[in-house]
Amino acid sequence: MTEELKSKHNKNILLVENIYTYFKTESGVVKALDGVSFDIRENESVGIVGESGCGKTVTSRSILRILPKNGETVAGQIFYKGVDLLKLPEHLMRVVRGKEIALLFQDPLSALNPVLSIREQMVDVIKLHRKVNESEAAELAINMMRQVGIPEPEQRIDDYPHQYSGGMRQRILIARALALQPDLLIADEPTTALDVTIQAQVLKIIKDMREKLGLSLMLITHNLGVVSENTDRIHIFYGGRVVESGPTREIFKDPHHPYTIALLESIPAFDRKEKQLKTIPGSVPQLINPPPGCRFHPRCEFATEICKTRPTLEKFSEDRFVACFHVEEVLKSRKSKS
Amino acid sequence: MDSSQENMPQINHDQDLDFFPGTPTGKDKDVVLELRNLRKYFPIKSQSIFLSKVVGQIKAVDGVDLQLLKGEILGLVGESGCGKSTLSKTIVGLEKPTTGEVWYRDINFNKTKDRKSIKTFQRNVQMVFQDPYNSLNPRRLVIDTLKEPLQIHGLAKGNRDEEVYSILKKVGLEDYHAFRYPHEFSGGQRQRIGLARALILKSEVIIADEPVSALDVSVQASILNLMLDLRDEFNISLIFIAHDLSVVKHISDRVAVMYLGKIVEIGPTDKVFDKPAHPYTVSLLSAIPFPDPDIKKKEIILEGDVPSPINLPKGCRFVTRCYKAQERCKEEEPILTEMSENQWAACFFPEMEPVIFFDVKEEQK
Repeated sequence: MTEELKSKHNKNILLVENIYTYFKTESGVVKALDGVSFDIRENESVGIVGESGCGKTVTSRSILRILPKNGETVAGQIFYKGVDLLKLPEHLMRVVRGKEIALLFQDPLSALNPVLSIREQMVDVIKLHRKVNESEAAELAINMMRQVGIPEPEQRIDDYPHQYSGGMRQRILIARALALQPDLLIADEPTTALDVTIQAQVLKIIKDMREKLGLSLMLITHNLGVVSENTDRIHIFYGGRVVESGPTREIFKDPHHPYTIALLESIPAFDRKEKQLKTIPGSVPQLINPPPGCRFHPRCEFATEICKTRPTLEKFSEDRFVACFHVEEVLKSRKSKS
Repeated sequence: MDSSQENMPQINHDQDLDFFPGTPTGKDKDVVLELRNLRKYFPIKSQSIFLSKVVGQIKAVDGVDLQLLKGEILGLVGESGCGKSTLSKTIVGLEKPTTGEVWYRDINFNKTKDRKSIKTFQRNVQMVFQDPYNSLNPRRLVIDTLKEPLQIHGLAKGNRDEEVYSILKKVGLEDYHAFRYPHEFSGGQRQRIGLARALILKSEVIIADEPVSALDVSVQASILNLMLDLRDEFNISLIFIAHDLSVVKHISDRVAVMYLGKIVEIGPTDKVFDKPAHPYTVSLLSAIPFPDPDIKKKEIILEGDVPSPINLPKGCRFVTRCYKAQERCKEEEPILTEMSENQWAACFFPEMEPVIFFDVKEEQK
């Protein structure tokens, strides 16, 4: 390990270095992740943002090594607390999953077993990872359920998933994930299936629990509002790569990458008066046969010949990284417009 | 009709009700669609094998009065289970209303027996569905899907193909797309086909049920632009149903907020979003996350879930979650009242305060 990496590990809980995850399909190899690098610092809330098919979910699966059978992380390193997860033997990986890194799914119904009571599902998981007996585990589960705001947890723990509403199910999953005291919580679109008022409740719980337990959070979402309000830093994904990363506030105020700019302009903002929304010409790249070089160049107004070679994610200013050859021009044109 | 209506509250709606909550008053208004006290109840049957008995009712839509004006986009918002989709299905006739009437101009769709009137209604009131994947027949070429409405209504005999090409062009697709199957299109393109199918009859009213919620933001933007362009070009009226408030704010001229089968607030978009009256609208606005770090808002997080529409609370239906609830709200049901010009809300203790603040400095004083 290089000195530079070591110093990075001091403040990083997770450091993803240049990972490539490919899927073999009948029509060819899908390059779902094509050299993704990013980091999550201790006690930090980091957003992973991008449109469907950009590799957000594959990233979380690659970190936990729970890819489908046809998928494989073929290169790169994933350091969790300085340990390369890709080299870890499976029996140790099973300790990492849940106990160290917990995963929260998008669809709370399919993440729970419909034929087991909540008690069975919570107690089993807690007993597997922590040295407690049945009644202690149940007590822990009830305590956790109370903390995430489930009324009368002593009675409700014996209910089945279908007896809970969507928001309550997501609370159960949060309680189950946090009962193991993980240090990193990966939340994969945790509120996409929920209504806005329920979404607000769930996000509040995640925030409160994060403060209480000193947890790091990796929040995967396509909802720019959710990341804006709930994260410290964001990494923007496009076509299986990170195109821009930096502090949330700065990126929203002053995006550098042409894709980020286009993405932010395409959302209907509350204070925007003009009726025409900006759109991005073309469509998201096919990852079986992606465009060469910068994945965004066929849709980018700044693209030139050089964009057919691959831009690297480079430091632009303090804490801000952009993968674009034309950052200076992009910023200049933005300035002249405003 | 069945006997279940007997114990229902009856509002005496005259043939020509001279005002509707939320509709701008004025003699020269051109009303294309009118909903009069529309209700849709679904019976709950006891689970006996031999004798099924109705033991209760799900009040999905519970008394909606609404007018839609020519060329207007009316946004309809609410959480899941509030009756948005049932309302849209009831309007187009996919569900039969329990009571109440849907009027298109001078046609009472639910009463008329005249086949010609029914056809006119159906031709002029069309629907665009939420899921562009499931609402197109996967085994049919686009041209056949688009030609079918013309065949049913016996329109454009002889040059139906040309009609299809011209409508495809209007929604931003090319001629050759007509000879493809739905699976060959992306989600955004499929939604364009859905729009083309609704527009090909030159309908006056389009009911769009969450037309953009299955799409990515950049695709969503192009569909929203398209809908606004088409409205300007054809002067159609739209009921735009969505749960995403920023989309509704962007596209609509008026907004109606639904909660448990009833409209709780309705008014011009700017007014409702600037100074919402109903506490439910306030909490909805407070709950949406904004993609702008400089926006500040009142933090009101509602407790609990939407109650089941089977056992509605007595009095105001929002009373179980309302942060302003008083004794009166538990006893008496508020009706839509005018709070400011054309802005109507059903609440005894309306807010009328801004929730969202764009300029943080101003707010901090």
